Amino acid sequence: MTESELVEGLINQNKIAIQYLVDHYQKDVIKTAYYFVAIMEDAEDLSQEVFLEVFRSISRYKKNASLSTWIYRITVNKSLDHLRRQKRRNIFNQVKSFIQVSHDGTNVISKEQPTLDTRNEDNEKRQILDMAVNSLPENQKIAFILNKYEEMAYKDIAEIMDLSVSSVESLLHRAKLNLQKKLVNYFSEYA
Amino acid sequence: MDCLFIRRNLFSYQEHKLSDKDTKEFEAHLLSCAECSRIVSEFRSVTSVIDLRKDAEPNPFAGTRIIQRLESEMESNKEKREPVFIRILQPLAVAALLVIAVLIGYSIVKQGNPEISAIINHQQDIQAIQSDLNILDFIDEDETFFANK
Repeated sequence: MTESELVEGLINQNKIAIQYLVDHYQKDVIKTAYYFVAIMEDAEDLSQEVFLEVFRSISRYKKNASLSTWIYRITVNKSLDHLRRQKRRNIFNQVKSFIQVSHDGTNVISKEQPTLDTRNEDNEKRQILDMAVNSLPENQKIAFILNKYEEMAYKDIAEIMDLSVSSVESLLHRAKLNLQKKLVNYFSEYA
Repeated sequence: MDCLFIRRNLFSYQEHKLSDKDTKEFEAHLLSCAECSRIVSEFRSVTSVIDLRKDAEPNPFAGTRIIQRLESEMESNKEKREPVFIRILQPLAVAALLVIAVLIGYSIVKQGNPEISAIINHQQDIQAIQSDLNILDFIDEDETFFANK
């Protein structure tokens, strides 16, 4: 099935086209979402939202970018929305527990810092890396994840982010500098 | 080479993007600086998570769930596209069916039950007689009127 046949089929709500879309893109969508949100179940839920969005707005799809680029864009946006929601929820929960603590008079908030000494090692490493990556500015984070996790070429990242290749290079350079700085600080602090 | 260079080029070293000369100096520094050596080792260890994450596989039924979600979306789209039938034509059809059912019931009852038929016939006879009588009264009244004249 060619891309234009697929698009036509989706506009006409053809079941074969829908099946083809899901078979063809689900793994990439789930994995990309997973690289952002770090929890597979959340990534799978997000992938449903991505395909729904694709299905609902396929008539607005403009063919100046490839379908896969368009789907990647939707995936990245949905993943970032999820992270923003999660951040807001975390802030709310922290405020809530702070208020509860104030009433109890005991402080139960311990700012959990993962350490490499406790050896559920992979988990700890994941937490450290996620913490550092999530603290990057959004554009740097997208460029870093698409390049390091997805192993995408600068040109493809540029297309997804709607930027020039040189801007992506610059974003990646800054992302790596920032990450190094954060990680080195962490390693020095929790040595 | 100083510690700052090491800490600013961790990715470049890991990705083999340093020149040969810088790589040699980088490694020589690590041999002489325990703190930088530890940091490089920790950095390598933490960034190895990237490769671990790449190996993660999604649930094999995830695709089925996506299809189900899309199909239910299609169903709800269909329902949205048929509001005229659901909101207007369907109640009208039900009302028409009810009227037809009542009429059919009435005619069946009328033909099938002799007592009711007899009552209805009897009532019709009474009505006919009454109308005859009314006409006769009218004729009588006319005759009286003309006689008086």
